[in-house]
Amino acid sequence: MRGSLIAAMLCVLAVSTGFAHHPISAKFDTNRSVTLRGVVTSVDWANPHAHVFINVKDRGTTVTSWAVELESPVDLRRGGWSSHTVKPGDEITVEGNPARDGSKQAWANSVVLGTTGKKLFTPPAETQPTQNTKQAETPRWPDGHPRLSALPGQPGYWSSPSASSLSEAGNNIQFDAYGLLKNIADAPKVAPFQTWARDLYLYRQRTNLKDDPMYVSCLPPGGPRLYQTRYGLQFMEDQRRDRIFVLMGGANRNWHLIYTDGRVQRGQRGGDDDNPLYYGRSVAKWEGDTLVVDTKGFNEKFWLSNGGLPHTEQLHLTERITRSDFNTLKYEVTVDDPGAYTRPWASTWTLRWIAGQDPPEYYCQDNRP
Amino acid sequence: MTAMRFKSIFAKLFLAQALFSLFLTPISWSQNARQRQPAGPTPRWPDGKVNLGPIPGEKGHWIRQGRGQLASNPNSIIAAGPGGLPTNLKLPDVPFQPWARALYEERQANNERDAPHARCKPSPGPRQIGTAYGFEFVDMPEIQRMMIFDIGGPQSYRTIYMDGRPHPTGDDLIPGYYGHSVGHWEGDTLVVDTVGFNERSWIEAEGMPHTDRLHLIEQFTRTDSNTLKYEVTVDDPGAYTARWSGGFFLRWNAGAEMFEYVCQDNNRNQETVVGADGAPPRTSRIVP
Repeated sequence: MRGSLIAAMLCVLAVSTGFAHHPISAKFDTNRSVTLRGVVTSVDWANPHAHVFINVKDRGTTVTSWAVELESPVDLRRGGWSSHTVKPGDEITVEGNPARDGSKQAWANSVVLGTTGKKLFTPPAETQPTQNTKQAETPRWPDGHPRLSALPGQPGYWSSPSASSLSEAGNNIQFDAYGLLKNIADAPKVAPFQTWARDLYLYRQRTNLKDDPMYVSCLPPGGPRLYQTRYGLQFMEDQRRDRIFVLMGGANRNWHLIYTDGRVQRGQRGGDDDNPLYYGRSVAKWEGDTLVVDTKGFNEKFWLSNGGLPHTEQLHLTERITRSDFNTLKYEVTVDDPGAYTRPWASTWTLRWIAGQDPPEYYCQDNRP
Repeated sequence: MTAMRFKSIFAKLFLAQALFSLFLTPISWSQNARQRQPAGPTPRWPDGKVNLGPIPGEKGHWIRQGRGQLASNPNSIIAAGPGGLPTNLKLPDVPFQPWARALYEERQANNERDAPHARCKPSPGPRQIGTAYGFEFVDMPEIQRMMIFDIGGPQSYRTIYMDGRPHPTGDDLIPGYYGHSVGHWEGDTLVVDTVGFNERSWIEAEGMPHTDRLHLIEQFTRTDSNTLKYEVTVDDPGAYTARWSGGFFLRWNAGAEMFEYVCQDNNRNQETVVGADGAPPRTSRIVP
């Protein structure tokens, strides 16, 4: 280890974490940096994170293999990479953050191709929506209802949420892109917690979200987290059947159904009320220009937010979804869970229209065994 | 009895249990829950086009009858069940390239233990269509798309563009699990052409390999209200010496609605089929 320090220079530096969509700080120490120069042995081009494996040679004969973890292929493509941009045999220099556990792993913040000095990777900026100023008005169906989905021939989807985590409206608490509190002392103010829920939330925050079921096991982001998940979502309004599909771009690209056929709020198949679900059971109706979605029947296996808010099976969500103009979706949620919180509470954010494309194909499960 | 032998017996017991839960339960469930209706004529929309879903006011979706083999293989590790097309090739006649045949045979010899679909991965046409619990076609003529929603497996969706667009080419064709699908009607048959596959999945349930040169031509024909004929032409010069075709029939599961199925929920495939020793730890360097 000591011998490899010539090539792998570890130094304590504060660096930014870029735009990683997973809480990399659980695995990598973002307060330290590492520089690695080595020869590529293989490339694992897989979501959620690509890996480049390199052999780092010290002055003598010792060769150490490092796993360099990169953003998702979706993001790398947006940054101009392809699966064959870096090939076995290439010499690269990586600047990044080392793994907390001391294993030979690093999160890459930049990759430079040794032979040419060409910089192959800098963290890509968040996708900016194409501003569609010509169509500022909320599009509508012939019956007058706002249209949540794309118009024929004009694809698009909802992403870029204005908030990265769920917290009670008006409390002005700052989070990073993964839902980690900027100031852990704000934790008790995030929501009207019961004591156990506050302590669990604090634990999840203090451990850098390391047990996140969506991150570790690719389990679905149920509830409001669906509307803060990277790679966004589409609505597909199946008017023939009075139901609305919510099509996820990221996580595991699941679909979820919201029924608008007037059915009562209970199990979608008779008699499975004791079968709690990740996305719950959703029925909705229009109140003016707002789709009001009522969802119950949640299980307790997922986190309610990117920051790790807990909930119980008593969770009852009321979501109010309004396309306030062509490019803006307003999302308001009331969380009613007497098992975890002392009173119902609300939060709101907006999503933006990403014009001209469907969500990228992204599956968390991609590199899971 | 050596420990190894003992372990092997346990592995087989677990395998049997896993296979039962993975493959047999959906079938028995659907037989209990299915409302049998006499077959009627192929339903149509007012414009005369075939309706691949329920008639207005009703519910239902498609479900496989057997395993969804593309070629008859009486020796496959799980009984094929009904549904194969009478025109299907016999397995020895499938024009595998030698490496592809060897890989298929290895996957069978390994009791399909590495099946990507059983690890919650999306899979190409035949495996998606043949998924447990079935799938639903949703025709969205206004936006010129046909959607396929799978219930089992990854609980995900495939978009079939019906607007006449071509496939993307070059770097714009990003290899994926479902590929890029475009469709059109030829008479009463929906013809779907798909390219742009990654190599992380099996074409069907039993381990037929493919490469990223895979090109599928699927034909969906609703021959009566209860029956969907699925025929696919496999065109992959990377894995086969010639184009070949196979398929299976699906039956209408009347009255059924799609439901939430999360493959990852309690997926023990790794432990039960491969054995705990073969289960990579979640801390493996590949798994972030």
